[in-house]
Amino acid sequence: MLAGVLRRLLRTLVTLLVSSFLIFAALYLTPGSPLAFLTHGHSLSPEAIHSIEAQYHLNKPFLERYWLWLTGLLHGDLGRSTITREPVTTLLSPRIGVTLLLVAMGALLIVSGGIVLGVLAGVRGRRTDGVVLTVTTIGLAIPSFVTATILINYLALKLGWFPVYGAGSGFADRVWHLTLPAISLALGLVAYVALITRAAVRVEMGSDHSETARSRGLREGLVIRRHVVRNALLPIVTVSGITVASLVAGVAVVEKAYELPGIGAYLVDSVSNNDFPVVQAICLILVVVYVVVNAVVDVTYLLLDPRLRTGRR
Amino acid sequence: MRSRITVACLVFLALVVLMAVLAPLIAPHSPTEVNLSSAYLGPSLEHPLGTDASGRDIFSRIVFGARTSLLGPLGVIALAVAFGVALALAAAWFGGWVDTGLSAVIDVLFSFPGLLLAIIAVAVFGVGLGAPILALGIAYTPIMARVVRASALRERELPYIAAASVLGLPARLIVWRHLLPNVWPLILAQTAVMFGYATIDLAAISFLGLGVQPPSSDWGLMVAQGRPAILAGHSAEALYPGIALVLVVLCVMVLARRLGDRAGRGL
Repeated sequence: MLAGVLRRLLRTLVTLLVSSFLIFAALYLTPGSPLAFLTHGHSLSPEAIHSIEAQYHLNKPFLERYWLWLTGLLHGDLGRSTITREPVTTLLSPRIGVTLLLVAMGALLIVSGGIVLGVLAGVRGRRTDGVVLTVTTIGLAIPSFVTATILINYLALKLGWFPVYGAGSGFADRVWHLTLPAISLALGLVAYVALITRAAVRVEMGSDHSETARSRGLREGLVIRRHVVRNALLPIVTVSGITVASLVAGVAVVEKAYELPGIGAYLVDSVSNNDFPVVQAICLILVVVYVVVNAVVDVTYLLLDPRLRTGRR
Repeated sequence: MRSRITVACLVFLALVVLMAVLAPLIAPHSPTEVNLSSAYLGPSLEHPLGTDASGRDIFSRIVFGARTSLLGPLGVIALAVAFGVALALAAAWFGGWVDTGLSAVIDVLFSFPGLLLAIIAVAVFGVGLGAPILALGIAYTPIMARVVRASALRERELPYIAAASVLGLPARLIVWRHLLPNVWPLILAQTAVMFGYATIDLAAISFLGLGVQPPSSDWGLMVAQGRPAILAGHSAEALYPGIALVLVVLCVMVLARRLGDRAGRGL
């Protein structure tokens, strides 16, 4: 098993290296010279051009440039914005809290809502199953920005239950402000986890060991808790983890829809403003989170499954 | 019941495609003609869904918007199917180090969320549909490749492939004429699923202002442009294109599930 975990960690490291290289190299795919791209074609003072050249090491060979950029990253140097000239870390630090809380609330919704709905659909009769199946199918089909528009229109404006835009101040107020965004972000993924959970629970409901437990006279509730859910947990944990990772990709859209001051909305603004160092930094952060969460899920899976503990796969 | 829903979805999608193709004939007004004196009109015979902030007919904009909203995802899946199937068949057929190498490439591609890749592509190549379509096509490739590779590996071991090899048929012919047709139902089901997700992702790109640019009409863009008016109580421009998006994706997903059931792997 240890070998499996190590192999997974090695693969994660390679993936991180390759994706950081891709994000780095994206700058050199631009039509025209990187310098013109970074200065938006403006003619700057020689000092300004010199500082950009120094920041991107444009006078060094390509691979050395990547190496210098990467070691800079590892020392916490994410570069400087080409618009405000401030360090990217200064620009991101007030914004990252909103995004983190949003993702955390979305993850909570996925794990609680998705698993509860899925178990209900798998265990209860055909009517509950039908309702959950219909709701989840619709949930999968709704883009987050459409959910956001609907929730803002009805729950925030018409009923006045929630604030419309902004992130609020103080923890309780912030959670209240982020409730609708978290629902918009998580809805499709809740539906997905519910579907997978339902399928896993159904398989276990009809399994031999559940039938045996029933024939021994165990109450159905106990059979479901001890035999069905516990065995169905493995695929559920895996899928929940992977969907939590993919929450990260959706933050840009939801933060823009609710005008939240998070790093996702800032990513989109920076793309519109051609502020490439900021785009690179935020993409890198999001990809690293995505890759690391996925790796953690995989390793958890290895640790959870007793069948893999013998060392053979 | 199930088949009735399937037929309903097929009919609805056919109508939407027809609407997109015949947009100039169906739309009662020009999608871009501004008339400030008729802003925010309610639904009427002349404007079935009312008008937006610039007095443009919302129904006509939705009809024309169907074009980019459907053609974009079509481009994405065309790329993903071409790349994904080619990679998967090569990996499954040759096996060995080719398989190991290609699978590693597929794994790394998997580590990039599609929407993020599309946003980077826009940052590099500029706004418009071209860069996001290419980026999403690449991001969806590993999904298709994994599904097809697994299935092709199973098929490869079956007697009919051995029989074809014994007959001395060239590998290209075996893969193309014998292996591919048997993997095809699965490819079709996976393509339908990806069309649904590509529709959502591309609409999101346009919603963010990074895809289709005004004054063209696109459903995602319409939702974004209609948002300020919601605060003033005019929700039509933002809501109707959103509903159109949801209905199209819903029908595609329902069909995808039927195709998946027929390909022998129920969800």
